[in-house]
Amino acid sequence: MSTRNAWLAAAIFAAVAAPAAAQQEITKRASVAPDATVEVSNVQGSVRIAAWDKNEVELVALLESDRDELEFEASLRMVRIEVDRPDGRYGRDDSEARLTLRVPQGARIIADTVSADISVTGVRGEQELESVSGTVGTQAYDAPVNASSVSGDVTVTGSGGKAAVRTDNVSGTSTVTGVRGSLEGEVVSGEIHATIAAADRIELSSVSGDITVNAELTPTARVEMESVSGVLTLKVKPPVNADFDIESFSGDIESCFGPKARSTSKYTPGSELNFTQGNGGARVELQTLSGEISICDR
Amino acid sequence: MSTIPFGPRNPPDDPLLAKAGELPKDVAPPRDLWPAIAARIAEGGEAPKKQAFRWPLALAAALLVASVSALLTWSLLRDPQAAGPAVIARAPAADFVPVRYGPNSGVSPAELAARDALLVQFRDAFATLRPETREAIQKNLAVMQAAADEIDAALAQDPASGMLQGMLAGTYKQELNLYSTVVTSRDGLTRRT
Amino acid sequence: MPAPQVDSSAELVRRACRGDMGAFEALYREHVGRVYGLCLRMTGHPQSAEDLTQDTFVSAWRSLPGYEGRSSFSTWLHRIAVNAVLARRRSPQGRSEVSMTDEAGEQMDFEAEGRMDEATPIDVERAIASLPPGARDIVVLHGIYGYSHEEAAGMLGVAVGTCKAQLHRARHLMRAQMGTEHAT
Repeated sequence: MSTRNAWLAAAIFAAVAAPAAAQQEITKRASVAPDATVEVSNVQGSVRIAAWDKNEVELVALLESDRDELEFEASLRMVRIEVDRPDGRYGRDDSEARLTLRVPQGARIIADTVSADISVTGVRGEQELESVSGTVGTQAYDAPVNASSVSGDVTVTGSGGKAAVRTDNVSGTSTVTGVRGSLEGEVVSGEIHATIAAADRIELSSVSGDITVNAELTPTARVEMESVSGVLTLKVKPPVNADFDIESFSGDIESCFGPKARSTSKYTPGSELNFTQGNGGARVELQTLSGEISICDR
Repeated sequence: MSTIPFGPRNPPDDPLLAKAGELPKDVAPPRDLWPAIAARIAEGGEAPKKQAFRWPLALAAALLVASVSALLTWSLLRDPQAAGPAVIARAPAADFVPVRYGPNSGVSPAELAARDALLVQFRDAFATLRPETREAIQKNLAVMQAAADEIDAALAQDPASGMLQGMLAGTYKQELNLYSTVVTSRDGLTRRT
Repeated sequence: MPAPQVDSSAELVRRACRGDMGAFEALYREHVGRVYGLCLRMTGHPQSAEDLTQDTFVSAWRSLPGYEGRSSFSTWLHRIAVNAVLARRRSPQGRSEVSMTDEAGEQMDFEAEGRMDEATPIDVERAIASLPPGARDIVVLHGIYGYSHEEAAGMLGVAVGTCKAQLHRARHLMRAQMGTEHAT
């Protein structure tokens, strides 16, 4: 049994693979604080986390391979779960580890996988979910959510609560809906599709992926979207009261509501469009190198 | 064992952060700085300089670049075994090509060397990924390369453009993000000794 | 000891605002430890920290009229100090100061006004000093000085998510590399 960090006051359970059985099913339970942190690390397979109304963490782990080792370490404030294969090589071996967890509603989740899909439902605490090729799906309530993948799709569904959502992706698509509050994200070739109500901060960037945002802006919202060659599409719910600062080095800029009032706007190919709509207040900055930019209020 | 304390009022679970909170907040400078300060104020002082970045992304890129690459270099300095004799001249066992930044891009040799340190870890991790994931990464590196080329060409026309410089920094940051995401996810595979 | 009545910070600020250098010196004496402590840990260079501490107070003097009392004076000074640290880092001089070998764990002596009776405070200082700048900034602002993630992100000029994600990633990497240095 490995030794553990002396700073943690922990009750430690380490499950070692039973050599005889090819597949292992392991169940673990721990009593925890309502806002305990649950940290899960897996490689292949899946991580499914659902909230329940007990101040307990329950793990049911199905390990297809007897070479996989499950670590389960628990204290009142922190549960750490990790699936490990000692030789570190997963390439040729497709066996999966499927982890199913029940956690308190207020738990904070940190989940990390290589190809395992991550799905979280009903958890109202903060979440940091990251995968390399797995998909990531979760619900946002009122706490910050950070959901990222490299090639898997990311889906964040809000319940109308005010959440700070962050999503990063490389080639997968990130879809964020039903969220109020703020959204940040970076993708390379993947796309971002977002619908945000009461948005007070939106910061999104891509290299070539298209970014499409439907937003209702708060009076002091700040929106910054940037892409090298991807298309930026922003639909703002009327009435629109914002300063627009739009620039593209060589891409086209389209707007379905023309400049009004005081600000002059310049329209030159490869081009700039600066104007104030309504009373101003919110701030929208859109920039691309060669991608098209299109804004509309309907 | 580490976690990040999210809420400002929650007690930190992270041992390093907990211990950090116990460090003395006041540290006396080795000498009295007041005379120098008073002298500067008396003679009119310098106006505070504020660097205005047009895009938060650019500053975040600079911080991440510095932090990730320096961290990896730091860890390699602590454990030279991990690096191998020539960090940069490693044989391309894994088939991906890091992004090449053009002459107008302003990515310094030091930054590239630091990125190479990160690449050492990334190469190992890359080899363990599934073929379709490796392919996705290769494709996206190609996308980043195309972007870097496009931005470099634009910078040739407009070298002072803050927007273009910010985009270049953003692309570089994306590249590092990609490597570090793969490396850190593989942490689960690494047995701590 | 028959000490004169000590003015509150607010009173000192008011007087300093009107040009009272004596009041500003009192503010300096009261706050220099926190400012120097921040600069020292963010830069890891005592000489830079001294210069930056001076810069901070000189800037503060000039910006006093803009201090509206919305945050504490100490926080306001820290904001100025962080700006100064970041500006120096971006300067050619600053870039040449951030050398990798320093971050490999050069031993630094910290003289603290307070007692250092914890078990391994020097180890903690060294661990923080050896973090890369981005992560170190956050550990200093959030861990040592207790600013929330939001406040720290604001002072550093980065998005809150970037702060957290960056720190999480750096810690993750460090955990893999440091291995069991702190495990028993």
